[in-house]
Amino acid sequence: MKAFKTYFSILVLIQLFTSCQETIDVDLPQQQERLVVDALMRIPNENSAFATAYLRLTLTADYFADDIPVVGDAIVNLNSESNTYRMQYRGDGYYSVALPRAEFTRDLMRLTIFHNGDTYRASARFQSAVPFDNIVQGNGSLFAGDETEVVFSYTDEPGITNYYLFDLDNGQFLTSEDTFYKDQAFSFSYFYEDLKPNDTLKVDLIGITKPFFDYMSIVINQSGQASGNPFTAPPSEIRGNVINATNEDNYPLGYFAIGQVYSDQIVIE
Amino acid sequence: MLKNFYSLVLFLLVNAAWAQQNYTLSGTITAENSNETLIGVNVLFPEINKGSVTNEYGFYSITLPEGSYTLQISIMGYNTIQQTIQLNTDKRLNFSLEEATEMLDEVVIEENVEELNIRKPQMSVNALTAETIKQIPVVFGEADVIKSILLLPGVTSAGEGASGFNVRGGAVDQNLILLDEAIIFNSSHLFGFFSVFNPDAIKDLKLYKGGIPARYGGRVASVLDIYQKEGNSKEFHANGGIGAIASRLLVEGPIVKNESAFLVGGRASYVHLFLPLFDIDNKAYFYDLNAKLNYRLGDKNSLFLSGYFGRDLFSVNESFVNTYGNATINLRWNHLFSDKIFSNLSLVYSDYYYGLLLDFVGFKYDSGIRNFNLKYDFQHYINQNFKMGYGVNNIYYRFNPATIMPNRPDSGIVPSQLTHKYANEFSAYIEAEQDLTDALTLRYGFRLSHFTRLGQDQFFRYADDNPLIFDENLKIYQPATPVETELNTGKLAEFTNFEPRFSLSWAVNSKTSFKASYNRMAQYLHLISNTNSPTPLDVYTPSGPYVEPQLLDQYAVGFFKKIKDGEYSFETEAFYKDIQNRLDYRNGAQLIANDAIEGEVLSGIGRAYGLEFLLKKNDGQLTGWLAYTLSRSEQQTPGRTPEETGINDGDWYPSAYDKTHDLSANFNFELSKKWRFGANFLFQTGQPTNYPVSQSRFQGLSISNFGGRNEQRLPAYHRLDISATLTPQNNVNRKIKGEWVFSIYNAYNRMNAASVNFRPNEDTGQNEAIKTSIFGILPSVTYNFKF
Repeated sequence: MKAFKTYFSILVLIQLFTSCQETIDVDLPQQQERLVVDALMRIPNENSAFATAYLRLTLTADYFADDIPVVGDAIVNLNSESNTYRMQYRGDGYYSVALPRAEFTRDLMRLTIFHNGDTYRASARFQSAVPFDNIVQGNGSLFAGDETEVVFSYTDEPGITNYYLFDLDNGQFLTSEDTFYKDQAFSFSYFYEDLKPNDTLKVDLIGITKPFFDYMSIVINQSGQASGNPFTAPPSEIRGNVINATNEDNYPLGYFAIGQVYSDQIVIE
Repeated sequence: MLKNFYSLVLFLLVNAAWAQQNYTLSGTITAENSNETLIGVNVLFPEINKGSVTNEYGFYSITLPEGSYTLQISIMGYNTIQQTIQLNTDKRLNFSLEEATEMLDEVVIEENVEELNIRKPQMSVNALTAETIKQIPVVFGEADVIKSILLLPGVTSAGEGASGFNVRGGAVDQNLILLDEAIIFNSSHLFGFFSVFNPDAIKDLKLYKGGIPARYGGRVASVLDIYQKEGNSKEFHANGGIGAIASRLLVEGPIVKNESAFLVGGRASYVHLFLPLFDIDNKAYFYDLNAKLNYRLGDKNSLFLSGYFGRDLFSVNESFVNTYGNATINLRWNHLFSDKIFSNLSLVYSDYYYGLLLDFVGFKYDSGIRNFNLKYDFQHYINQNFKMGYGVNNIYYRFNPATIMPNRPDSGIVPSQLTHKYANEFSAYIEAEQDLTDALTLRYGFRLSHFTRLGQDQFFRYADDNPLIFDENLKIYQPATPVETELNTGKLAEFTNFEPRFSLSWAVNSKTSFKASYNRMAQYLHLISNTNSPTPLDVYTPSGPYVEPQLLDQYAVGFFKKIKDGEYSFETEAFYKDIQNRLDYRNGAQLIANDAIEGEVLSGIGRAYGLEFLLKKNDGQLTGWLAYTLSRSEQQTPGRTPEETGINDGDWYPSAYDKTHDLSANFNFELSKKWRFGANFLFQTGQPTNYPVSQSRFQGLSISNFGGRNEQRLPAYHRLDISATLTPQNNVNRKIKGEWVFSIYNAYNRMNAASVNFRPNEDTGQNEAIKTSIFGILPSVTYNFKF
């Protein structure tokens, strides 16, 4: 449903007022620096024995700062129910480790991060997804008339309530829950701006949990994708599922989630 | 409780039986040229300083000892009638008032102009006439009810493009809006740029901000009571206007002369309103239709049938279509049981519809509220010192939270219906207005309201009856999963509230008075909105097992003064109010098409207090007013247990309608019969909002991190509007009379912030703050005509 609401916001209302927008200077309150855990681990549907877990650690920065600090000196462990895997630093805040697919998709995985004397913890369990049935380019458009329509089709996983995250490339994300298309073949159109012929879109469909769906819906709202209209929800603090076990007040931001991913691509004509 | 009610009635009736040797003068007062009944006409006996005022249906009644009196009948805009009355028997006297010969003579706000009002215990009320509303310069040159009341003290809005209005720090859904006694749920067209009321059809408008009489209930912040014209039963007339954005036409005339009349009015805006720049098929328009019939059946009965139908349509390329609007139909019967007992029976059906079609996801969404409202009100004029009102009201509600349908065969959407909700609200009230001494007048009464949340097809039950779980580790609220779905439930919940109302006025002399009031009110419907400004998509939810009714206690005191024989008047009021069970949404709440709204909201309390000043000039070439309000409106949503954080750590935080300073001025200058000028100025403290405290990255997205709710403010809002009205004098004798209204909205082009959004620049990726403003300077011309 969030997907529909997001459409409503972005596509319609923003356009009404675009002409009356201007950049202004605002004095913003300062907040303490916090650890940000970007740990959405996408597990491709392959037959290999191992799967690679990635995450990225950064810090929050002043809102108007040019860069955000990355964290390269943390100790990051990923625990399955039987083993501990130390994630290796790969530069630019990224850490990774390969671990047996069976454990990754079966166990309750626990993440432990040691940084600046604090211990951070989170846990997650694998969520399944479904493949795209097809992705085709449409010829519809919305406001400006120069958007590129892409129609994504998939069939909802039967028997359970599903939450999906779409990474639609170009920094476009979308969340969807199956409430209104349970067990059905479903398709939706997405309208891209600024695409050229021969551009390739690499898109992911990821299975997620309800809490992460809620989290990601707010993240998308507060990422600027849906901003610029006076009808969006007032933004709020986004607390994820990572806690600081040492010092509760120095809580981190970000989320630890493990989801099956089906990737696909389309070349724009 | 009911027993007490009857004994009070009995007591009061016995009380009334003293006045046997008195006689009653009663009747209806109408306008001479149209037979339209006149509201608020002063029926005065200056020698004994007694009087009465005509009610919403033009009826008056006054009982006095036998004798000879001078009777004076007056209302602004009409010639005063003065005559001597021999009161030696009960008399029925109807009067027709001639319109004052001066064209376009205007007195703006009519309250407190007359001596009588100084003594009336009603405080915190503002009345506007249709003429006043039409003179106030507004956006696109279209006269507008809501935009006009925003100029009154204690009334603010979230700004341009925000629907509704906020009274004394209250929320938009806390206003009871009555159009010919029918409840209107959404007062806005086109996302708040216009209101749904056709200014040509309006006869009288009153806004009660405090000291709310017992005959009103169901909302806690204010009552906006609008009466429309009944129709001219003497001769056929039409008037209308042609403007840049919308046009309107209203025709009225007799069906049987002097007995029955009709009135039909319509307004429509032009297509392509906001989107002329895009070369594709976009539409945005609204229309509304008012129709009325009235029959006078002898001296004792009148029947009124009225209907309203309004729709907004917004469509983009047929792939997005949004339709919403109100429809009401209303049958009223006025009956005089005696020359002292006036009654009105109303039967009202009203329907609010909201629909959405999203072709790109193959999805159609309908929602709405229907209600059937039966109201029986009595006004009992017992004697010159004692007047009573009593009545009953029953409202049956049916809520359709959402019907979801596929809009084409290849859509994957499964048709589904969110559970309908049903409720019944019954109330009874009794109140009395009593002159204790020449100086002291008292109004007291109570309303007893009873709300039943009726059974529904499906109802969710939760472990420990707790629909919202707090995660102590993560410090977040999450909706609980229902443990059981109860089918075909019986009655789900019942609430009864006793709502006392009390007002007192102490007239120091004929020019000065002090007033005080207290009112308790209950509101059983909640509008849960998680947007910065209310949109039509917002969800009304009835009180029930998980959501308690809102309860308000308001205290107000005021000082009222007439200066220079009423040429000027000054009033100041202080108020304090307390609200229980005010809902706020959890962070990240999902309110649309959600069958378990109880898992998205937290209950808290609210309070508001402030000081209002109003200085008016009522007479002369220059009329107008200056209003200033200093106030605060806050909310507190503490955690339910010591572990929970609530909202903003359980501290008090400003409500979204908290405006510290609110200054407004309105002036009208009549230079000549040909030219008239108007100006208004508004200044409001910026609306509370949230700004980011830091940025972070997640999945390559640049995220703004926000702190607590409503901790920052938008820049202050201010603007000046001016208008000039040209009434050509060479056509005075012509049948068709016209006038040109030239107006400039936002004359000094202040780019007021409707919102400030934070996002990365599309090209540089650098974060920036974007201010969205809706209207800069906006000149317009409207031509109004009547014949």
